[in-house]
Amino acid sequence: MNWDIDKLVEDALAGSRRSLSKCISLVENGGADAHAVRLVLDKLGQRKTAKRIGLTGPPGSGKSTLVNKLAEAFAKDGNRVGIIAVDPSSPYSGGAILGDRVRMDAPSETTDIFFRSMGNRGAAGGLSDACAGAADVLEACGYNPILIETVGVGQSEIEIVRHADVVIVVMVPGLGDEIQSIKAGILEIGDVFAVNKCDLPGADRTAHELRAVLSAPVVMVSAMNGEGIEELVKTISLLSQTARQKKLLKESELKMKTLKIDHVGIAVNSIEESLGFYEGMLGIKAEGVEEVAEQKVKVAFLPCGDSELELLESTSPDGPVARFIEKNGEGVQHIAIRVDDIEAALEELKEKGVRLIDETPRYGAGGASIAFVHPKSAGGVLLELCERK
Amino acid sequence: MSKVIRILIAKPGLDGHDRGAKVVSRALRDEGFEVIYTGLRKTPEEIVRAAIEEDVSAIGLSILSGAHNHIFPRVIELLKQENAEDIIVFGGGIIPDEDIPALKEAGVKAIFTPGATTASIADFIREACGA
Amino acid sequence: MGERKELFKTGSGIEVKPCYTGDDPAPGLAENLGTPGGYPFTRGIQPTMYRGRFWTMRQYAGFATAEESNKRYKYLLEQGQTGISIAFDLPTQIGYDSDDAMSQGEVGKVGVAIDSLADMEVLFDGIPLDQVSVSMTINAPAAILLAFYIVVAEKQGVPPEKLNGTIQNDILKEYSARGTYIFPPAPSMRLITDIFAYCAKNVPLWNTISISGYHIREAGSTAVQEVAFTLADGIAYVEAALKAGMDIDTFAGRLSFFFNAQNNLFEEAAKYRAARRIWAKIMKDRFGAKDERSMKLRFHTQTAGASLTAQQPQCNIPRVTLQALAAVLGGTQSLHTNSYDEALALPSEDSARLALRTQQIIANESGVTDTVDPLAGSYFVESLTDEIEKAVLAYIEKIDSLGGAPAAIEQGYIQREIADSAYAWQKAVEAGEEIVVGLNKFQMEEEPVKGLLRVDPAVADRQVEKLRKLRQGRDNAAVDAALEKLREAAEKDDNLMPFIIDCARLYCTEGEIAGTLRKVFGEYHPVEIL
Repeated sequence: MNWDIDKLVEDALAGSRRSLSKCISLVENGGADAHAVRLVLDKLGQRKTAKRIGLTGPPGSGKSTLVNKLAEAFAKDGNRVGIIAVDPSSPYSGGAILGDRVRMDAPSETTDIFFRSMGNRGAAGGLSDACAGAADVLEACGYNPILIETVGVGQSEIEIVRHADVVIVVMVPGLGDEIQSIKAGILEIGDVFAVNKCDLPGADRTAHELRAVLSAPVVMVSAMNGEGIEELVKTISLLSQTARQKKLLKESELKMKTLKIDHVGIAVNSIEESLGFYEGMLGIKAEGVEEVAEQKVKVAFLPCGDSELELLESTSPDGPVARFIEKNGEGVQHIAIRVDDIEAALEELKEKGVRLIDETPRYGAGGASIAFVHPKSAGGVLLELCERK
Repeated sequence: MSKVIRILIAKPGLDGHDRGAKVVSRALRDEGFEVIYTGLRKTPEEIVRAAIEEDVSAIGLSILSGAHNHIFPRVIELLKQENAEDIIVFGGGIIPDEDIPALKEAGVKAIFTPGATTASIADFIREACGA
Repeated sequence: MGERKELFKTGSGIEVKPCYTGDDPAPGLAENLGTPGGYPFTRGIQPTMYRGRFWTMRQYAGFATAEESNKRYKYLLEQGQTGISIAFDLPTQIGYDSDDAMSQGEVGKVGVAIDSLADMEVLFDGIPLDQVSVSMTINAPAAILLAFYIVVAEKQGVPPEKLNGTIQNDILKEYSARGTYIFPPAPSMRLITDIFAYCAKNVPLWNTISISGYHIREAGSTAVQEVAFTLADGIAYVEAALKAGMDIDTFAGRLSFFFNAQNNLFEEAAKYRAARRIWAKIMKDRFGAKDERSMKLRFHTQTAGASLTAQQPQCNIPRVTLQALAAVLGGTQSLHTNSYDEALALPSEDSARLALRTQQIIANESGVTDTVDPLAGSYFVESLTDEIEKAVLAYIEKIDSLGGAPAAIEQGYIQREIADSAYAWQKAVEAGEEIVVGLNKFQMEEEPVKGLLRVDPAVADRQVEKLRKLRQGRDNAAVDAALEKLREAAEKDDNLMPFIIDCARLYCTEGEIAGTLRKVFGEYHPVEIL
C-alpha cells in the first residue's frame, strides 16, 4: 500500500497511532521515504528535548520488566511514554523474534504508552540511525520520555545507548562474579546502575561491588514487585539534567548559536595599576573606561585579536567585584560568550534546566545585552552570555 | 533492499499451549520475517493495539481452547474500527473444519490446523503480503 | 547389507545399536534393579504389581457445566472406569469467575466451569466421595478447589480423613510449560506448602501434588528432558517443604508424579523405570528419607496428546495403544488414554469409551499384566534405562548449578531447552527425517470429520446467570468478612487452607477468593524465551 507521506505525518502529529507507527517504519526501512519523513519532522520544528533513557544489561537481567515498570511510573505522572525495544536479528535469515512485548501489562485507559519492537537488522551504524529516528518520530508526536531497551551485547547496542541522555545499566545478582567479567564498555556508558531482583541473595554484594568501582549512582530495584522504581525515576530525573547538558552540546542539535569568546572579565583592585602590566608589558591598549552603576563597577576594555580583556574595578566595597576579590583575590572573574540571539539562548537554556542568574537580558558595558549563567550549571565558572548589535 | 515483513504472532484467550506459536515464530524468523511475539493471554484489544504499534503486515492467532469463534471475529472487528483492515489475519490451532467457512467469511484469510508445515505458513504470508 | 538409516537413535538422541548383549547394561544390574517393591524400585513400587490389581483407569474428562460433566462421570463409572479425573475450564484454572471479562469465549470450553461450592455440589451429585478417588487438574488455584471438595464431602457426610484423590498443584511446570499460572513463584510455593501441611494433618490420604512432566513433554521436550525437569521440580518442592519446617517423611509419601507416554515403546518404558530409580536415590541420599514410602515414585500416565494427528484420525487408535502399553510395561499407577479425535476437538462419548476400552484390552487380553516388570533383564531396555538415568542426572546437575528449578525457570533455561527440542522435532518432520504416518507419509485425501463434540455457547450465559443468583442468595456480609480474614492471613504467615475453607462454606466464588489473593500476592509475569 502506498502512503501519502505528508498526510501520514499530519495524521501522526494529530494523534493517529497507526500513522505514527507507519512513520517509524519509514524511518526504520531507510531510503528516500525516511529522508522525507525526517525533513517533514524537521520542518515542524521538533526539538530534541524529550528525555531519551537507554536501558541495557546482560540477558536475564530483567530489563524488559524494568522498562515496563519504569514506563508505567512515568506514565502515571501524566507523561506519554515511548518505548523502543531492540532485539538481535538472525545473521543467517535476517529475520528476528522480537519478544519484549511479552512483559507489557495490558494497556490502561488512563495512560499512553507506545511500544515499538525493532530488530537490529545486522547493521551496526544503521541501527542507531533507525533507533534515533524512531525516537524523533515519537518525540514529534508528543512522547516524552522515550525508553530505549537493547540486549546489551555487541557494539551496535552500545552505540544506541550512547545517544540516550541517561543510560541505565541493569544488573542482577548471581550471574557469576560479574563485576570483573562485565565488559568495560558497559560500565563506561552507565549513568545509573540498577541492581534488579534486589530480593535475591547476593544483591547487596553486587551493589556494594558496583559502588566500589563506580562513581555513578547504584539503585536497588525489583522490577517484579515494583520495589525501588520510584527511587530510580527520581535518580533519572536528577541525572538527566547534568547528563543531558553534556550530550546536548552537539551544535547541530541546538537552536542557540555561540559566535566567539567575547571577553574575559578580570577583577582588579585598580584599573590604572593593572594597565601598567597589560599596556606596558603586553602592549594591549585599553579602549576607554566606562562605569556601570548598576553593577557598582568601572570597566576597561582591552581588545586582543577577535576578543577582549575586560578589567573590572569595584566602585563600592559591597559591589560584586569587591566581594569577589575579597573571597578569591584578584583574577579571572567571568568569561563571556557572544551569542547571536540572547533571548532565544536564555529561553533554550532555561527549558533544558540550566540554572540562570539572569532569566532576561540586561544592560552591560559597551552597549551589550548580557546575562549570567550560574556557576553551578557551568562547572564553577561564572559565564556571561552577551549579544552585541 | 527488500522490505522486511513484520508479523505478529499472538496467543489470545487463556490457553497456555504455546508450543505451536513458538515453533511457528522460530520458523518464520528463519524464513527472514521479523516476528513480534505477544506471549500468553492477550485480549483482542491488546493484540490489535500491538499490531498497529508494531506496523505488522499480518497477525497470526494461535488458539487451542476452542474460543476461536469468539476471538477471531473480534480481532477483525477491532482492526476495522482502527481502519487497519489491510492487516491480514490468519489462524492456527485446534479448529474444527466445520468452523472454517464462517471464520473465513468473517475475514480470516487462512487457517492452519495441526500438521500444517511451517513452510506453508511462510509461503502463505509472502503471497498474501505481495512479497 | 545396508541399513535404512545412517544413525538410529531415540527421540532423546540416545544412539540405538544394531544389537544388544549382556555387556551393555551397566555393571551391578541386580543392585540397580532391586526386587519389585524394593529399593531402588526400578521394577515397580509394589511386589505384585498388576497381579494384585490393575492400574486405576482414569479418563480425564469435563466440559460445559457441572450438570453435564456429572452425567459424563456417572457414565464412565458405569462403563468400568475406576476413578474420576476432572478437567476444569481455563477461567477456573486461572482463578476467574465465568462472568469475568477475561473469561469471554472460554467458559466450559476445555473443561467444566466451577465458580463456587454450588457448582462443586452439582458436579459430585450422586457420586459418593468416600468410594471413588478423584483427580483434579488444578494448579494455581488448587487450594481453592480442594477447599470446595472438602466442603462437598463434608456435606455428603464424608470426613476429610477418608478422602482419596489428587490435586495437580504443580506450579513450576505452569511457568515452564503449561501457562496457567496466577501468582508469582514465592506466594505460589507458599500455597503449595500450606496444602502439604494442612493435608498431612487433616486429609492424610490425599495426594497433595502431582509433579507433572506430561505438559513439559507436550510442549516439545524429549523423554530425558521430561524426566529431568520433572524431578528437578520435585526437588524444589521438597526443598520448599523442608524450608517450611516439615519433616521429609511426613509429606514425601504423598508426592505423586504425572508422565507422558509417547510412541517409542522401549524408550518410554525405560523412562519410567529410570525415573523411579533416580527419585528413590534422590530421596534417600540427598534428602535423607528413612521411610520407604517417601522413596517410591508413584505416577499417573497420560498418552501423548501432541502425538495425535488430525489426518486419518483413526491412526491415533494404534498410537494410543502403543503408548498405553509403554505406560503399563513401565509400571504406571493410573492411566488416561486419549481419544482418537482429540486433535480435532474435545472427545465425543464414543471416542472416549473406545479409549477406555483400549486400556481394558491391555489389562485383560494382552497378558502383559500377568508378571511384574516383564522387560527386566532385556539387554536393550536395561541399557536404555541406564542411559536415560545418566542423561537425566546431567540435567539435574546443570539445573542445580543454576540455583535449582525455580531459578532455572526464571532464567529461561528450561523453557529454552524445551523450545529447542520442539523446534528440532518440527524441522525433522518437515524434512522427512522423522515419519508421522498420515502426516508426512502415507497421506490420503480425506473428508472432514463430522460429529465432533461442541460446547453449547449458551453454557456461558447459564453459568453467568447461576452466579448472579448465587450472589443474591448468599449472606454477603459474611462473605465479605471471610474474604477480609483471608486477606489478613495472606499478608501474614498463617496457613491459608482453613481460611479458604471458611470462604468456600459461605459460597464465596473462586474469582473472589483468587482475586483477594491476587491483591496481596500480585500476578506472575512470564519470561518468554524463544
